[in-house]
Amino acid sequence: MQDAIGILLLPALGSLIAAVFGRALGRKATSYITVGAMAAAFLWTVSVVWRLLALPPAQRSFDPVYWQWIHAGALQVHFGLLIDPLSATFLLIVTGIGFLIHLYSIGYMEGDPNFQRFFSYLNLFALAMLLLVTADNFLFLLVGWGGVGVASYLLIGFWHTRPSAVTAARKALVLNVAGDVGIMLALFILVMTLGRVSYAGVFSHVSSLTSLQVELVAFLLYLGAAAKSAQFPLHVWLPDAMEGPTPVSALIHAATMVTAGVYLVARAYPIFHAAPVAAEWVAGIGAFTALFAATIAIVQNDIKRVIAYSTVSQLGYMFLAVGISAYAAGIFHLTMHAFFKALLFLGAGSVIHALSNEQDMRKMGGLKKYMPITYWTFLIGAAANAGVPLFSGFFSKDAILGQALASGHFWLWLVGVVAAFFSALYIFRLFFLVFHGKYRGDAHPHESPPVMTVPLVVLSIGALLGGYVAVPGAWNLFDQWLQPVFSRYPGGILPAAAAAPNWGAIALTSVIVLAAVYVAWRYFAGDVVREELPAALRPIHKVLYNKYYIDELGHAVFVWTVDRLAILADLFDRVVVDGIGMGMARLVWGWGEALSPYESGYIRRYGLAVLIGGVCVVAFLTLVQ
Amino acid sequence: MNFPVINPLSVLPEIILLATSIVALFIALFLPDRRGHQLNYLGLVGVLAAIAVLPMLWAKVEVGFGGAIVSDHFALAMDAAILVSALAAFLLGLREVEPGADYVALVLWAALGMMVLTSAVELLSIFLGLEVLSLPLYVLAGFRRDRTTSKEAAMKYLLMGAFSSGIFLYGLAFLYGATGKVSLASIQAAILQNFTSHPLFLEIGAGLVAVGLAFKLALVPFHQWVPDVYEGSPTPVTAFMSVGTKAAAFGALVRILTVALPAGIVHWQPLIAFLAVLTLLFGNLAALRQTNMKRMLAYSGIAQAGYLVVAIAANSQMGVGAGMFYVVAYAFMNIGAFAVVAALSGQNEEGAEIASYRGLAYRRPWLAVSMTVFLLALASIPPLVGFPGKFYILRAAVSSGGVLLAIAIVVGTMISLYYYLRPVLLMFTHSEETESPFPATAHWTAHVTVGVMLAGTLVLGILPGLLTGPLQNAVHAIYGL
Amino acid sequence: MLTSYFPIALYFLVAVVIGVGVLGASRVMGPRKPNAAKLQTYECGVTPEGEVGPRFSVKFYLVAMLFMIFDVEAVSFYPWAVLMHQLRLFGLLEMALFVLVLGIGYAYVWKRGGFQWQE
Repeated sequence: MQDAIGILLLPALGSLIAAVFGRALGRKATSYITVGAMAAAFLWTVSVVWRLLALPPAQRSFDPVYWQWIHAGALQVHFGLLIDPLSATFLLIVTGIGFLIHLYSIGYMEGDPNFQRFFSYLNLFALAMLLLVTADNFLFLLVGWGGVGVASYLLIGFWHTRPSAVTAARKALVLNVAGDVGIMLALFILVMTLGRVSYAGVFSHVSSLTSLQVELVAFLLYLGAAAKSAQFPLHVWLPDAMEGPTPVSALIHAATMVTAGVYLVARAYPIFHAAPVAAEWVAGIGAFTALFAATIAIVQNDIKRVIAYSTVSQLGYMFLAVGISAYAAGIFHLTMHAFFKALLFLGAGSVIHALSNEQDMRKMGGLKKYMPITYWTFLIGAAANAGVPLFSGFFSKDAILGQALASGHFWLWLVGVVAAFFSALYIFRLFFLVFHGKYRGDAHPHESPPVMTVPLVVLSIGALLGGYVAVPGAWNLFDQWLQPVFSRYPGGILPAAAAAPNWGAIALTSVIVLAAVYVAWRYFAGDVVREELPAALRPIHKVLYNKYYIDELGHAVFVWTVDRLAILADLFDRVVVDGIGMGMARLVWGWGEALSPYESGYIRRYGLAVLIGGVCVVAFLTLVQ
Repeated sequence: MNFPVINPLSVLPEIILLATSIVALFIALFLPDRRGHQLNYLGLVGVLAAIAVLPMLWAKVEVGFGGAIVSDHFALAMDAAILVSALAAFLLGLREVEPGADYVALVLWAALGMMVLTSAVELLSIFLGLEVLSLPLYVLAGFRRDRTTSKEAAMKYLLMGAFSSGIFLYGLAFLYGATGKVSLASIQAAILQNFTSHPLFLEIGAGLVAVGLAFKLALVPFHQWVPDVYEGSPTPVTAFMSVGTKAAAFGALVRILTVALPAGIVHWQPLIAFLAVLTLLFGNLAALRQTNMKRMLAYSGIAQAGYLVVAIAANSQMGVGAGMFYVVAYAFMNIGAFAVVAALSGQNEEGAEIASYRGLAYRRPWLAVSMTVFLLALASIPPLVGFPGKFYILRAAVSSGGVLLAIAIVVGTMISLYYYLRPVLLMFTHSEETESPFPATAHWTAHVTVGVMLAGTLVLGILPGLLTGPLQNAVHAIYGL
Repeated sequence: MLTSYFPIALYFLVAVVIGVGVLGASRVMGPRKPNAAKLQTYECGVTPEGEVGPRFSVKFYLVAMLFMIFDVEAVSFYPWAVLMHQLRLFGLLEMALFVLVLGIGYAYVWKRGGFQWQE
């Protein structure tokens, strides 16, 4: 497995070539190289997975080490990769779906003047994401973690002439860095207490930490995970991040980067197992986020924003799963979500592309007859997202809800079921508004070129059939595949996972979902958009439309404070340092006047500052003894 | 009568620099003025020769001048950083300062003073080193006499420098008065044997010495000259003095504080820690609103000095090693950044404004990418050299119980991200202007400098182990192990 | 050890007391009736011309500095002269080197026009 590093090197090389020689190579060659790099990385991953499958389950874990990075006393950090079923799953998602999105971008970014730069960024992102999921220690995880943050910053702000894109990019970076700090602090605690940063080293010594330490580490890791995976209240950057090109939204903000938080919690399960309080929080906030974001998504009018809030909501489900130790179920939903959410985003991109960059759903409608391929593939994606029975989302979401119920988390289950109703409602509201009724805009809709529709078809096959790897009551290939990862340390496998499916609960969710689809059809499939609401609902609509005013609250609290800090910093030199200088200067003004009538300017104040500083230093030293 | 043993080997690199400067002045007598800049290459050769003898001296500790000068691993390691910065002064100087024999000689003398400062283990030699490094720098700061800012920089530097030298000398007098000794080793012995007249004198002496060196290191509140001087001085000189002076002052501070004055008896440790926190917070905050690249780098340099002094505040072998690593790291990152500024500016320093970096990546991709690397390294983003540098300092701070120091470093680093990343963003933003504010080409030596610094920033970032081994020896040298 | 410095401290004290005392006494006791003639700069009984602090040409400072440098260098000859016989050939060579370096510096200043009064 020593060769697995090649999977990382390919996009690294692609990104470098596109960045340095992109101009000279031209658009076509650049796109061939970068997309080719992703295709090759995908094939390489397939070979890795193939070799893993050939081994007995217990041996499916490799930790090739490439070089020693830091050797400082007891602390050793090496650069190594961890290849096991969990990282292999992510490798497949990142390279596979990443490849499709790269391919799609060739069509979507066709007219953009910075075509080569875009592909360079895309490959850079893939590299960082691959490093994140394959690193075998927390330090290089953090390197990848920071790398995806930077890459997403570059990609969100790709259209840097739009002020809103730049603002959104900055917002995303700031919130992500806040999360990075959480992981960094967790890392410090691990280094201080255990003197180790490798997964194997940390996980096998978790028991030597006090429960307070381990809770703290878990909370700090979760802070990082929540920022990257847009959990309430750190979710505000994700909807704004839709300012980036749509393939970016699909790649980063649906399929891969935002799931990094789920990966982290799943990877660090021995820590979360030892930290029950933190794990409860993970699950609780996850369930709340699932419901909260789903309600917001119902009233948004921007097609990408609806899908963005849908992503936040689905991530909530995944955190609900990993929070109650149903790791395999969480990763299963994550994988299915990667398919259908990438599909939905690319479908939305196809629509936006067809309507000359129109994103307002009120100006769409009736696109079914203009864009048949997009229509049918989107329908599959929507059904999977809603959890309509027999589509992939149905299997994965029910796996989570079933385990929540079986492990005794009744309230979490209930919140999840209510959120499922809203999920089906918002996605089919979107679907009917866009594709049914009459066309309400003034562009000339047309089907997208094959380079865009082929990825849609491939993804829709995944969204349609992917769920059948785990059919309740019959087989669960996915759990078996991940089983060696989660059985290495205690706490990775929920006893309830083995329980027989609760058919009643499954039936209940199915009915609720279908009811929501019916409501959506009843209200939104018509020719005109219903603008009037019953008076009683209007305040609720306003609150939801304004996303519970979280942005405004965040702005008021955080941005205001930071702004003031920066101004304070600016004033510090002038007011405080100079102020002290001036104050003292006035004191000795009379003397100064008499002694130095020809002295002028500021050097006097510098000298005074040195003098006062020196006096303070000496005073400190003489008093301290 | 006994004469002290001089032992020329102990000052071999210094002798090489001095001889080069004399030869340069001598040649200048017969060289027409318009060819004066060729002497720059002579200076380059001299510095390279001095670097070349460092490995030969590494094998053995040489003591000279009756024990006043020691050429140990610590001194040699610091000398390397100083010589690299002198190299940059010559490589970058060709274009901007129209160098002649005087430029060559002044740079060599300043480097000589810095090197004496790091290898001196006796109070008077230390002061000699400090003065020999300061006087040429005053002149160098004002080397562009046709620019008001340069003249202003020289004047301010001279006045403030003289002031701080006085304070420093006063401190040395107190140390001598308290112990009656001039060599650092015997001062330490005297303190440990309670052979002091009055502990108060020791404290005052330590404080005044710290203030004098804090001035050279640009610690808050002794920093105010730095932005003016760094901005006004010619860029090659700024690159040279920002790194060389810090390396030298760091060396002297380590030798005086951690070696001569045991922290358990003289209470300088909390003081240095406080200055470090003040410096790194203030430097980072003040850098936020700068619009001039050199001025921003000056404030960033203040902040970096804060990180560096945290290593001293740790008062441990680990701390000294971390500080030395950081000096080397800082040499590569900071000289690199200034080299790009110098490569971009012509005779008149056009385009030192950060705003003029907009869209640079599309006009001068090589310089823009290099600048990005240097700024990211300064922001200590892995895998660049700033990251292991700061990591070692953090570790030293934490392991000697300075958790607050560590938090201050992290907070400072977070603030610094903003102003380091802003120029990066600008460089990669398309600019509407087709007119570049920069001259179209740079002297080839500037590109060489950028390349060398880039290589150092990358290689030591990925393989910091290359340096930590030799530095371990240097730490042992200073603690006399 | 501290006590041995006591006479110096006493000396400083007396100097300050006398200085402040004399100036203070004249300020307190002396009558003050300023007029134009009294406020004029005192210049050895001659009618003053121009300002009190006239500007000097910067060249004065240059010459003064060069003089200082070479003058101080000359002081270095004294210890060598005293010990010349004990230092023998080594001392002679050292001094020759010293003079050579000094000479190059002198020649350099000369060449750069450091002694030229007019440009």
